Amino acid sequence: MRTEAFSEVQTGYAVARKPTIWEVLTSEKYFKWTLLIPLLVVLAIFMLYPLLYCAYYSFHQWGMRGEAIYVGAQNYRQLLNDKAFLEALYRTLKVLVICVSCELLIGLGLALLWSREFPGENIVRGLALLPLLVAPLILSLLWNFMFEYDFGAVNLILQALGLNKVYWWSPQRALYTICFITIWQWFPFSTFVLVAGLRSLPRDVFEAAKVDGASPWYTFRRLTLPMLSPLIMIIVVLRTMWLIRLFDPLYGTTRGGVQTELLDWIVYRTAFVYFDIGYGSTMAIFSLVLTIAVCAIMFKMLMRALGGTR
Amino acid sequence: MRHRGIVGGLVVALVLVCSFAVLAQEKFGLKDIPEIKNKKPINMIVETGAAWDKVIEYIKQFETVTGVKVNIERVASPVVYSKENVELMAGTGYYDVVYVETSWTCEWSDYLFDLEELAAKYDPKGVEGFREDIQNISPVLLRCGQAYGKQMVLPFYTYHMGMFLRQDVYDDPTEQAAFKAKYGYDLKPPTTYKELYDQAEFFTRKKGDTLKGKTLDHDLYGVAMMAGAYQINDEISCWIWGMGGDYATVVKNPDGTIKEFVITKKDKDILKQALTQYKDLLKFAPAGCLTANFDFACAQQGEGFAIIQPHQFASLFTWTADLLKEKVPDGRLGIYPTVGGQPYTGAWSLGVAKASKNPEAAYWLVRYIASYDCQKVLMKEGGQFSARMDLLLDPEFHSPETEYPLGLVCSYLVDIWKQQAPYVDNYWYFNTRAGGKVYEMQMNVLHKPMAEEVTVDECVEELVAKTIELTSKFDTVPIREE
Amino acid sequence: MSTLGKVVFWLVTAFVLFVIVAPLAWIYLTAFKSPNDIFTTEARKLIFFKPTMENFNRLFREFPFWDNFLNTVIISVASTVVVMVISSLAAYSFARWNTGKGHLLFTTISTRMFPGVVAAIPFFVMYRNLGLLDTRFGLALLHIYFNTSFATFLLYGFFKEIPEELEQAAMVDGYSRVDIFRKIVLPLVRPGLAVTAVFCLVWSWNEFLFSFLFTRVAARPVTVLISSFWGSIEVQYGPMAAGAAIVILPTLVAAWFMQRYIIRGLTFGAVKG
Repeated sequence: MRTEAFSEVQTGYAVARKPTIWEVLTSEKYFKWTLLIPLLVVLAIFMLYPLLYCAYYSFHQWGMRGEAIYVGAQNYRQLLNDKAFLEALYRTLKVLVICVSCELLIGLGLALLWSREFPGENIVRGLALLPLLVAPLILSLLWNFMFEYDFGAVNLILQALGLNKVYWWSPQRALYTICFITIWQWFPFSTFVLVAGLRSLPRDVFEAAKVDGASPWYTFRRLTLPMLSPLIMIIVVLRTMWLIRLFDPLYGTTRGGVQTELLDWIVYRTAFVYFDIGYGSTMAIFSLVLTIAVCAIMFKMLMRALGGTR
Repeated sequence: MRHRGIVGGLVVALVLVCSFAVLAQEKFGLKDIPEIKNKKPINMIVETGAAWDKVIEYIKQFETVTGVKVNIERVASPVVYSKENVELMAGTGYYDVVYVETSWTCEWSDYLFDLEELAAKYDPKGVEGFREDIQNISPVLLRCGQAYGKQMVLPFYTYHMGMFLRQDVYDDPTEQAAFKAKYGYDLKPPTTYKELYDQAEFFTRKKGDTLKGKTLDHDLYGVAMMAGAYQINDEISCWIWGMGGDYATVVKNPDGTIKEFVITKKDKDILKQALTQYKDLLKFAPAGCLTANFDFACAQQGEGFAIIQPHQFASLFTWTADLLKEKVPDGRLGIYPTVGGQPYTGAWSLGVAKASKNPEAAYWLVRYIASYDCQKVLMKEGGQFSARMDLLLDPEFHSPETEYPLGLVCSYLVDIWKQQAPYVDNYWYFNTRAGGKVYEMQMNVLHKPMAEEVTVDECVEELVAKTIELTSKFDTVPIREE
Repeated sequence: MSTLGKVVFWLVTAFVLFVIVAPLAWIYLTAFKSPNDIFTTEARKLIFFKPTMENFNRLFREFPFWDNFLNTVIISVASTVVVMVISSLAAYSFARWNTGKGHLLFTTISTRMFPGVVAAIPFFVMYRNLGLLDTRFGLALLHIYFNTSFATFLLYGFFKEIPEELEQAAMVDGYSRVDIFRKIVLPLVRPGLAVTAVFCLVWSWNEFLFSFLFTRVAARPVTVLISSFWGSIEVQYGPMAAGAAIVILPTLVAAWFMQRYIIRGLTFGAVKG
């Protein structure tokens, strides 16, 4: 089934006929770009448009009513001096570090525990997926209630066990409660990725190490971890990207109060409540640049790792 | 002499007959809506909750009688503003009937019809008929629903605030004696900050102490407050208004138009004092108040854990009283003016959007929902409080069965409106186009000092700066700081 | 495994499962509780209470629950199908030829790095002009935008697993590029496709922000309905839990069937010896 625009030389003379569009698109040279056409269309409409829109308005002052006033880089200068914004940024980075490291540690621990086959593994794994399947917004409303000081299930159980009630939403503790909710919902993600990773590690290397008398710790440090590193990188990249945008847990609980205002919450307030499109766009562009900077480094490391082990 | 007697008697008789005629005049109701020529369906957005659950059933009657379909979108209360704002700002013209908190009225005045304009156009009784019906509505709430002198919206239910306290505890002789012994004056509902502070302190007790002579099996708190980033600004409003201040002072020209807004030194000092006092009071409140919305604060009092709610929406009185009756059988609530006598006021109201494709039907729907019959349903079944004085004074709500809790609140509202009426015109919220935006901003900024994120001074600074920023952006009236 | 090892294993597993399942069990219990049993301080009321169907009745009777549910199904399934088509084509291109030298792939992923709330505003204006507000089609388009980056990235990993030798052998045999893709590569990545499809479906199913902003009544998905039980007096946890209890079920079923594929599928080929 050759799809060549030129028939065989074997016939003695070349019969050149004009290639059809389809043949051009699926030819060796262009096929890889043809495959990308739908994606590029989506990107152009849905990514370029808001980006350009916001970039434009970040240099203006506009409240969606009346004229947009050009103000140059004033919004950016204001942003860098905005104490509330910088606080929110700091808190977001704090949450990011805590959540990613906890999810990774818990994920790795559980993955090691569950990577072997055991009775009831389908049920366990099925149930362990649950937190990922529930709408984040519903969860935030429900966790708000569960961590309630007097009526919440958590404190009721603590009391029943004879312990003291804990004030989960105190200004000192609330941010960590938010971290807990996030980790609770997302640890199955890292767990499953790592279980799959452990499952496909080649047996022979580990057999050899055992024969050589290597300790479990040595095997883990020198063999398992390095071989898992690309997967760990993928988890870190994806989770970082999503955590900088963390929003849902706040919506039904603190709503940015008790010292838990995160980046996307202050952006939400600016763009969506005050409708300060100019300043909100500035914040958005800033977040985008920040996220790209943070993720690009990790992404490069990941690409190198993926390219290397093939 | 006899002639004068007869003439006098005739005049009296005439007056009596006329009065009866006026009183016997039927109130505006469903049957008074004329045939609506425009049959296009109308759209409205409302919040979820029992009030609308009940009223929606009555809207169905409206649909049947007028032949106009009403599409209702129900959303969570905290997001009504965002959703409507997006649609209004983007000019989609989707909502015909607009659901408005009165502090947003000026802000949205460009998008709404002057209701009298619609009355002149569509009401067979004209503006006169409109005015006659609404004279039964609280003048205070009507004023809140006006922008620059024009009636933009009619109230649906009011959330005017009041102080809820445990009447049974205040009437208890043991407590009264103990209080007098400790503080030197009689135990009465507080009218000054010092009294409130004393009483809050007095009633904050540990498990094992006594209340009304009985041992407590739980901790007791003097007050329950909504210090979370939800409604704290309403509570602060009670304080600053009560102390004679405001978020910005409205300066008017001799002809009544607004000249400028000035955030005076007095305003700032009063705000500082209010925030400091509020923060001080928090030590007599349960821990959860820092993230509390009204449901939590009411639940604390209803469960019997807190004695006083210094400021709470009067519309929640019935719910709290019912909860209290269940949890503390001999408990009873009382409602009084907040300290300073100028509680936060306003109502969820309904208006007609200028971009509406069927303003005729929208106008009649608004009139219908604000009418006596619908409002009665709201009060009897929906558990909220109407803004109509004729309803609040209706003997049906002041019988022995209904006096507690309904009648109590009705009387309170009528009284506080009389008391507060002279001041409402000058409250800043109801005179500025930036009202809605500033309100939302305050929810976040005023909470911060309570959560120890900033000091009171920093908070006042930020509030003033942001108020000026937002007002400059969204209003045409100049604003400055003194 | 030693007996002690087994005990530790099952203790930890049981604890983890409890932490996961307990809050979700709360949803199912609350769906059957009356308001007084929800706002109570008695711990035993957590489990022992008089069940009532009132929450479900209210949900079905007073709200367009099933209409909204249908909207969710249509939007999620339609957008997932389209996402799968777009993403598998693109991911194959990135995996086989490294088109764009990694920059284009990174750009694709970075679509999720922009705050959704801000992107919503230009979209809202665009949709108003195009008449796409409150339409299922309009919302599905946004979900497609929302999921493409993740799907492309994930499928990239799966496509990278396929050894190049296989494809080269097929070319020698006379297969065209299109046929290689359709008849050889696609069947091999079926587990990966299943995994990605389930995640896209679940996220579209549970999406809130765009669904809330861009729909009103006609195209409203069920997540917006459930979250609207934040009423004027109190959060109506009863009907909210009832709604959530029903909405979780299809995702549970989908995930249950896919979890076997998920384990096999999440390999990424990165650690094959």
